[in-house]
Amino acid sequence: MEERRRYLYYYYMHYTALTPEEFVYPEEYERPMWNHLRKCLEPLVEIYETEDEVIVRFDMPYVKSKEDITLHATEDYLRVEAKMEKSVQFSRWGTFQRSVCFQNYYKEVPLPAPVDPSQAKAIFRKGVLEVRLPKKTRRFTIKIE
Amino acid sequence: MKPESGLGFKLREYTFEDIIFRETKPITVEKPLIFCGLPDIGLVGVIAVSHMVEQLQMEEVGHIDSELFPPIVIFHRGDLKYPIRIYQKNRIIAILSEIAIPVPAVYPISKAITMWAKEKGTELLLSIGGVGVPNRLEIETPEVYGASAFPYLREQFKRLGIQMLEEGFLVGPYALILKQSYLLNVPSAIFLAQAFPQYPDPGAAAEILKVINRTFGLDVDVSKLIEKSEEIRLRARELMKRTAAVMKQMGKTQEYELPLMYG
Repeated sequence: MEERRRYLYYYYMHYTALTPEEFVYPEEYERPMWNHLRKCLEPLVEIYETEDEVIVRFDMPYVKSKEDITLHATEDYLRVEAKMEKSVQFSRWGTFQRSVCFQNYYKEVPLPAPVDPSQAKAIFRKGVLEVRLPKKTRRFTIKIE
Repeated sequence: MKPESGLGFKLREYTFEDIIFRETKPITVEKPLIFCGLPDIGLVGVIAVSHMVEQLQMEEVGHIDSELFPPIVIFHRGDLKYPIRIYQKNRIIAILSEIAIPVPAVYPISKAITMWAKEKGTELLLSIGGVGVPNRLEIETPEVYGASAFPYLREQFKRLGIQMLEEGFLVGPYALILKQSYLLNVPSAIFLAQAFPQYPDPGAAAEILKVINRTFGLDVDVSKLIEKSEEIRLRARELMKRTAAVMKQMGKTQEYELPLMYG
């Protein structure tokens, strides 16, 4: 059994081209997605990069209007805070074994490339917030001789 | 003193290498339709199968266990639950996982599900999943695609108006289930709905359930799924996050690539 498990482990290491360090969940995945003291939940985030932009999407169910969302950005960080339409209550939840209530979302996202936050644009639709941040890169056209 | 099972009845076990199927209630139905809801793109399969179980009031009849799974049990209303469970109602069987399948367990569980389905003499083993689309926000009604290794099933689905997947990669446990089924001659197919790649997508699950209703003559009410959509998105965040991490390890992004074959 042990041998078989080792074989499977190394098979997948090879198959997915991951190092053993990458194979385990990074710390990000072991951190809870909530903070009961601040009564906030962490939204799911997707980050894409195109040639010119960094696109960040947040999934925020129960947020109804763009007026309930505050966005802050620097060259390399994006922070979102949003108020839910109604508070979400979990009764006798997990290790707490008592009622826990959440009212907001909060998330800080490190960006994969420096951006120009003053040119950023955002739309909010069906509970999904999409932020497009232009990359801070200077482009030159090179003449081919 | 003879140890007693906490379940209080005799178990029937099927062991397929590292994976154990335990039937806590005998499953004796002939030619069952087996629906498989494993965590994947948009958690479409998990959401759809979980809703089916609730709406059809299916009974828990067993679970799947392995030392390759994370050391987890779930408590629901004080009762101990295994994270991967088997449900049944008449000739409908559902396999539902509440945990992301760890990469080393993907191959063994896919093989075991297929072998168990063969053992049960399934009429069809149907995997339910999602296909990630970057512009999902703009799509009001997600398309549902089908795929199967068996030409007669592809023809059957085409006649029912289901668009079949013609080209492309499929990565993950469902890909292996299709491969194993082909090898073991187990009638098997997959339905995939366009979905958010990394967010739980109840809308996509609802569309796939509509197609399943139409195809298999079931009556799963999807209106409640739409109503509860926000609650599901909120509750499924953690599972989605872990599933996204596992999908990354499996090279799921290869589904967006073009296969080399031509001609």
